[in-house]
Formats: sequence, C-alpha cells, structure tokens
Amino acid sequence: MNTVKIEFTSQTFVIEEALLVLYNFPAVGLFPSQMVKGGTTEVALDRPREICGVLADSKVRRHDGRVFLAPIEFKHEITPAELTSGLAVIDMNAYKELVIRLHDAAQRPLANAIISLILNPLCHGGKSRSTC
Amino acid sequence: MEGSLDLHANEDGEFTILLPPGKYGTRPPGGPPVQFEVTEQDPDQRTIEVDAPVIR
Repeated sequence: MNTVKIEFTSQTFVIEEALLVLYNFPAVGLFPSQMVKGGTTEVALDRPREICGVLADSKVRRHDGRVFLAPIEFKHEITPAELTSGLAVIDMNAYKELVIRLHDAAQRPLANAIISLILNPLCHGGKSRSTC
Repeated sequence: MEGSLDLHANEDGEFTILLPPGKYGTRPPGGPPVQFEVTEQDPDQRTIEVDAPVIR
C-alpha cells in the first residue's frame, strides 16, 4: 500500500473542510469516507487507479472571502508517477459554482425540497446517492 | 448521463453545487426534467431557475 496525499486545488477557491466519499473503492457495503482539511487528504492505494467520489458537506472559501457549502463531484486517475511520489493534485480550476433555485408554479421558493441532480459520466454506476 | 445526487434545497429553495464542465439535468418534484450544460466559458457563478410544480 502507498499513501498518496491528494490536493484539491483551484485558483478561485479553497476547500476548507469536506467529507471525502469514494464511490469506487471496495468496502463491505459502505463507501469509505474521510475528512479533507485545507484542501488535502491522504488515501491508501495499492496500485494506480481511478478515484471517483464526492466531497460532501464541503466548506468552500472563495478568494474574495465568501464562504458557502456545496457538494463537489470529482474523478481523477492516479498515475504510477503520482503513486510513487505520494502526491496527486486534482485541478478544480474548471469547476463552476451553480446555484439552482427551485420555485413552484406561483414562483414561490420551494423550501427544503429534495431534487435529483442527474450527472454526466463523471462517475460510473448510475446509482442514486444522497449528500447534504 | 448516468448517476444522480439527491440534494436538499435550503429554506429559500436553493442549493449550491460545484461542477466541472459537462451536461447535467435535474428532476424537480412534480416537474419535467431540466437539462443544462456547464461550459468552461461560464462565469464562476451561475444561477439556474427551475420550475417545480408540486403535485398534491
């Protein structure tokens, strides 16, 4: 097993805290999870492989000082070089902040509603997952 | 598209998510699916309005 430090980086925001949940790691009936602090965490890997998951309950600080909570989906291929060096950097510069506003037919905000976000093939599986 | 996340809106009927460029959709309660695309040319923040006529 190699321990690889994972850094989630962006020029416009920092992930101060998050719960990393990996979808594609074998575990007995559960997705493994662990904390991300200051945009970094460590995972134990036995070989180069794709990691794919969600940063749930992410506390995100924009460089203008604004802080918000948002889940963030990601995937990344851990290369042999990253496995050997013990460092993998996940570039999040292309990520965009989306605010989805729900309202009913009378244009009133739909408070506390649950909505499904249908993802493109960022992660595999076609499963329904809950965050927040 | 494959996979989905169930998200909880706040008391203002909003939720926030960070997504990379790609095609996505939502399935609001009682409403038709809404598709949208995130592109590299988008501003850092976007708001999407979604009608969700609740069926009672």
